[in-house]
Amino acid sequence: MRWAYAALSLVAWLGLTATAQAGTLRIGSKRFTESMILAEIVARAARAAGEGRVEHVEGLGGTAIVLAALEDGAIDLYPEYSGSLKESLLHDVRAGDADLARALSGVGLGITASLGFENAYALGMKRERALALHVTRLSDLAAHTNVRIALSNEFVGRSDGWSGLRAAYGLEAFAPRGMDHGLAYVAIQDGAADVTDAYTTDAALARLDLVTLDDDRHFFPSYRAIIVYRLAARSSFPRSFAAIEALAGRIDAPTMTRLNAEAEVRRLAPADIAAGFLGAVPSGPANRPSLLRGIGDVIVLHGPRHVVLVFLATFFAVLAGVPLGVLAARSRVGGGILLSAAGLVQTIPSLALLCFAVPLLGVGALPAMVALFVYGLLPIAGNTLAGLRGIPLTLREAAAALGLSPLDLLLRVELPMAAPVILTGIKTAAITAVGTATIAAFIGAGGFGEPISTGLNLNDTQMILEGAVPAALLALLVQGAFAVIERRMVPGAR
Amino acid sequence: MLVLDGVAKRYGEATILHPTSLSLGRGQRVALIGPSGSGKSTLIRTVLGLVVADAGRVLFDGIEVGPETARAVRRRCGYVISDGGLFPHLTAGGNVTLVARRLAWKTARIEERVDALLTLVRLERDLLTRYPDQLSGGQRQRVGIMRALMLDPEVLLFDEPFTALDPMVRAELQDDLLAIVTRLAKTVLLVTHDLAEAALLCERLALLHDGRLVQVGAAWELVERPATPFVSAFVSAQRAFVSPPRPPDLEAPLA
Repeated sequence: MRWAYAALSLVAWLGLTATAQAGTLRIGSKRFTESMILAEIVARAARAAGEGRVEHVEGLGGTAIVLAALEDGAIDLYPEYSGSLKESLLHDVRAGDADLARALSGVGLGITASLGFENAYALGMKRERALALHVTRLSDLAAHTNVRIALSNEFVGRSDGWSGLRAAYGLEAFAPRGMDHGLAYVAIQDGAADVTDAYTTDAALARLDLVTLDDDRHFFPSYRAIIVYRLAARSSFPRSFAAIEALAGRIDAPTMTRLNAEAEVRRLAPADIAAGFLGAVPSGPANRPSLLRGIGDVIVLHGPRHVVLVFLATFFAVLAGVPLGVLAARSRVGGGILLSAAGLVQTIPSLALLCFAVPLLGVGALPAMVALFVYGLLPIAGNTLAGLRGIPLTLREAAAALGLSPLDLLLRVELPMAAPVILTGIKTAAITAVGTATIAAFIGAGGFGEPISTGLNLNDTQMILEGAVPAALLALLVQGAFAVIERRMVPGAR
Repeated sequence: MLVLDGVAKRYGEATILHPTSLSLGRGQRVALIGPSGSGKSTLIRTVLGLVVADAGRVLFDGIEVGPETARAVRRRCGYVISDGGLFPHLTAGGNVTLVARRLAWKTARIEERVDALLTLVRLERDLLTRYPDQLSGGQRQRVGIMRALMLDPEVLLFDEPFTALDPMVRAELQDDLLAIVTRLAKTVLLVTHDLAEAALLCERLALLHDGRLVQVGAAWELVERPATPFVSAFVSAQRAFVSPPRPPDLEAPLA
């Protein structure tokens, strides 16, 4: 029972590391490319400061959600825009910077200087349509009520969004459709809409050949890109914040648009784009730790998660696999089916199995654990079956002749006698799990696979080794541990 | 005490056991003898419900052995097989006391019983901490007999108990076992293909051939009044040791 509690609390740990671990700097982001790229750039800069674990809590949704997460302490900082903060905190997007600073410090928050660009709202219109209708300014739009407008849901709801824009430019005649921002672009692309809201650094402007309509009545407020953070986190991670603040002024609007395009057009991952951006900075590679030091850092940073993932998956595989093997041993047909299934599942490539788990369970540690569990289940059940079948008939009869209850017979005689074979199955499962868990990083499970997958994306051999070497060491360690257990299980060696 | 009433067993097309009847009074000792494949092992296993007969029934002290009663009957029987049938993951002591511990006997009671059994089977106490593969064949069999006797069963069942042992150890164990069963006055059913062993340990012999009981009686009856030619063939196949004559050239110097 105590084991079960321990296992359950480890599951909880796995789930809660995002909110409960001390010494971790958590960087949030909103659910769009630019926010995620900026968060990755900030995370990378902070990691280089080497002050502890840095985590990117991705895609948290709109301003209200991320800001609430920040105030709750679930995250420590995230990339934001001055206008959005003013709107959320002061309900006045045009409030002064001093008012904003006062409001922020009132709730224990602070902001950095501008990162170097502004990402203001704008309305984008298909170039050919704009040319045909001679629309270049927002004030030109009112005359063309047949223009179809598709807007992001957030823009529709904001006072500095559609409602203010409509009043400022007299657009009451339009009935824009609200939808997800990504879908609004699809609508433009498919010709189902002519105008949508966009950000001035939006890569889609170029991709979809949109022109931004001139804000001739100066409606849209300023949206300087900044980092908003908890003051408490700043004092806990002084070096990280020094590195983050050094980013101020480093990213201009064309650079940001290019980075956005790398994600949206070239389909690069935000982490890779951030690495590329910072890699161009001369001070970046110089701070690179040696391979040995890097391996040490990876073990400290990713080791616990990897070990827990493997341990839990194996633990639950034992918990389910041994009874399954016992049931199979009781039925000839069931046993045959089980052994065939065991052989079959082993042939599924691990990456494929992990990908099957994603549609069912999402991304992160849970689907990875389930996939590792499935891999471990069958060697353990199969070996339990083989172990029980391998007990000589005479001994099985001698055991039955004792008149023990069926449960005692199983627990006191049959399973202990099958134990060496079962243990071999558990060993196979555990070692397989150590290896497969590195692949689990592809679905966001963390562990030693994280530097491996990042290293593969960046074509960075050292980073790959920083993940691969600890994984191999762990596999050897598991192998050694089982060798010790096996030796202890030989009768008489105790 | 034990009644086998028309017990029969087939495996597919092969008839292992034709309907066979045999009864043992309390304290009686009967040996099932016969060549390999004669059905004697199958017969003894029906008593414990390890083999379920196709026809007939087995009565243990008036209880018909079946799925519901088998466990109770097994507790009242001691079963000893070749090489002791010890579980390799338990020490000798663990093997002996397994069932008693599961029945939640008090430690003092277990110790007392083990002490008595050690004396009875003439085994040294410190061997109890060893695992089966650290014991000699004779020691394993003594532990097996201890395990069978632990719950003080009314019936002892031996299935070719001494076949794996060398002749000296076997003879010693046979003598010891005879002393034990006569002293305890247990009901005994012994399976063996060794006529001498059967005659030593049991007062009645039941000879099986091809799944049929061909003769039941005392050893002398089988020898002097064989019921069928097979009985005399079986009896004469067991030869007493006769030394060949001493070579003549060695006779003179010794004299």
